[in-house]
Amino acid sequence: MKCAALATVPLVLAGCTGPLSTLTPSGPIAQDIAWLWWALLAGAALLALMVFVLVALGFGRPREVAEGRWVFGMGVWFSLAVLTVTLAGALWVGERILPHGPALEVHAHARQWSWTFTHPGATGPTESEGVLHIPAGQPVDVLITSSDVIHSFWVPQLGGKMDAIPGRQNRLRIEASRPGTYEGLCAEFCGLEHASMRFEVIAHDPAAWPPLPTMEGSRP
Amino acid sequence: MRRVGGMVWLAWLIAGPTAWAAAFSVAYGLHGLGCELGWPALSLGPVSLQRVAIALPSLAAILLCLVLLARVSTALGPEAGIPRLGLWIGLVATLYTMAPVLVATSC
Ligand SMILES: [Cu+2]
Repeated sequence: MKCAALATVPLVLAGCTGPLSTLTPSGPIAQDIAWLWWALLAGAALLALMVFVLVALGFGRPREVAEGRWVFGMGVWFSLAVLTVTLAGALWVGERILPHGPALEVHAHARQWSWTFTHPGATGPTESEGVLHIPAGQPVDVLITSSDVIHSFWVPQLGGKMDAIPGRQNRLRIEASRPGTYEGLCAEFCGLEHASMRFEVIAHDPAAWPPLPTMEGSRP
Repeated sequence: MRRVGGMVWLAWLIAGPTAWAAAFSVAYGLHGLGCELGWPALSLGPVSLQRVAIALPSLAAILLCLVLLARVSTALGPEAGIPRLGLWIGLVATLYTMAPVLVATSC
């Protein structure tokens, strides 16, 4: 039983890497989000540890317990301290990843069940199906729209997640540190083919930006 | 001292958390409304209309908690203990949840 439990650990941890993992960030915004995730995990672990210690104490012989220390010291002040630190971290990260200041603008338009992207090209705006082209090493604002139901734009290695809402245009900032191909997906259930609503983001070397129409499909 | 029973005592007990919950809900609604109507751009003195709109329900809840705290002893006598704690919880919870809203980017 113990062996079986231990054997599943690598399996579970294997989910923590790969092209769709928030924990293998490839840009400053995704990096901030990953740090926040680790901070929240640490906070949750501290609080869980406190509860486990309390449960363990319950199994021992009956003894005198300093009620004030547990109820107020740990229950109220310790919990509040952990919550306050993680909340402050979340606010700080939240402010940092907002689209403040200038950035290159691209468009992402969602429909059941595909994405159309538009980026500024050498000869004016260029459209592409299922592939978003961006330059590496600089912030990019994705202007997100939808023509039918609510979808959600998410490239876990490059930034946060933003809903595509019919009748609205939402703005999400992403950034890739290095040229490469990154995977994205629709992160809001939108119908039968939701699971196949994937796309790619190709980050180009800034020297080769904007990409020529002929190399649109090619890998950098 | 007369004893206060049943539902009246219960109402005192949940008054604090209820004030917090009401302020939170109203602020949540006003926040969305303000973003749509462009309140962050309208300044009222040193702050925007947006921040004032979000802060006002909280201030009302805090005021309500303070008023009830001043009266809880006379109203409930020896039964005032736990309702008093409830009012403090409502007051501190309102301060805690509303404080970040006053500094963070709104929309
Ligand atoms: Cu979708």
